[in-house]
Amino acid sequence: MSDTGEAGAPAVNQERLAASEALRAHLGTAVPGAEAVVRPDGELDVRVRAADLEAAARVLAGRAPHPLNYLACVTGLDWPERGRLEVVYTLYSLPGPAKVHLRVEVDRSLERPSVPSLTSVWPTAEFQEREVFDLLGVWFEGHPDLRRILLKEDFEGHPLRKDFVDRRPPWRRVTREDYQP
Amino acid sequence: MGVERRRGRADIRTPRPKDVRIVEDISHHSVPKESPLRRVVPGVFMADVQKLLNWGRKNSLWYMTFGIACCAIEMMATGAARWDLDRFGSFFRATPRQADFMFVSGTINEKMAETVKLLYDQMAEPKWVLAMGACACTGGPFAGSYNVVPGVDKVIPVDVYVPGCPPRPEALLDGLTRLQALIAQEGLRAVPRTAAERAAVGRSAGSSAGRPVEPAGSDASGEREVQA
Repeated sequence: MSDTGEAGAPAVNQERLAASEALRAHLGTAVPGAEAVVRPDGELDVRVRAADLEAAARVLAGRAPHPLNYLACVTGLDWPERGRLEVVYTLYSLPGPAKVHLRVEVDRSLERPSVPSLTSVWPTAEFQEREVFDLLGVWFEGHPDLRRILLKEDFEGHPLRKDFVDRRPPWRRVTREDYQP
Repeated sequence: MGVERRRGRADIRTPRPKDVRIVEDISHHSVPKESPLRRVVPGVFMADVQKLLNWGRKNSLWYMTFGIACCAIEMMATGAARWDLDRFGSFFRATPRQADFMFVSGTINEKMAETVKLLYDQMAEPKWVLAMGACACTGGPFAGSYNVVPGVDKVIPVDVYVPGCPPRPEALLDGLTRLQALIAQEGLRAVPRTAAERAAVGRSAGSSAGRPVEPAGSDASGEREVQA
């Protein structure tokens, strides 16, 4: 996708870099709580508090002329040493060069660590937030249908948490004689 | 199947005495050679019912259209023209009600296990299961994962295991012929299914030492081999 520069490092997409700089300046005024950092590769990292998440998302999604209208990925991370759970929304702009990582963190020791759902901004977040909920146990407030998506409904725990312990009983081989339909 | 059928045709073509003759190719039969039972009318075959049933069952293993993962691609290849499962009398059936054989072709996670069990229960007896590939045999590379069943034999009884990742079609055909050999040794089984049924026929529930109950008069020597 990207050609390499003289030093062997990937060449920076200058259009993307310019878009990120403009977006960072815009976010600084529109969402004062957001910490935006332009990464060396030209992508924009935006860290927000959970309370600012939806406002920041709306600013990004409505930014003219290149709105970040494509939610490519919702990722969850567990940082046990910092006691935090992190959710990363990876955003592209289909008409423009911008690429943004919208990050939000929440205390992992809570009974229900929760962040606002962004399904009202990007409807495709619905299934991806369900996956983060299923595997990491982050509750998305305002999600229309927050259920497990991959695991069984009666599964106990969230298996991608680093401290997850599998408590299933040992398995036993079934023979034709003791099989119970 | 091919051998018996060729013999049968040869019987019809061979010049023969007017109405009665000794059929030579049933020397494996338990009826003594000098017995009048060995005399058959041309066009009429004699066999013991158990062998006849086993012959029919092992050569008409209709398997369910049911693929789980990458092994299913290999299973489909085995069913298609190049390896051609049809020549063993095996065909895909689109419903468990018409199938008596199931390839379990992929990783069984806990959510899928319920479906596999349901499909197995919907198949009519007698029925057989072949675990295809490392995942269906033991969980494969995913054994120990939080959501993977370590082998489909933790959910339903399995008759033949074919390891591989995925097994080649030749390996699958070998598994099928081994299953046919197993079926050829089976008796006329009436397997009690529930604990109540088992109690009714005088077996303790869940006892793996118990054997299927044979109807009176049938040959009890031909029971299924239970793999340890």
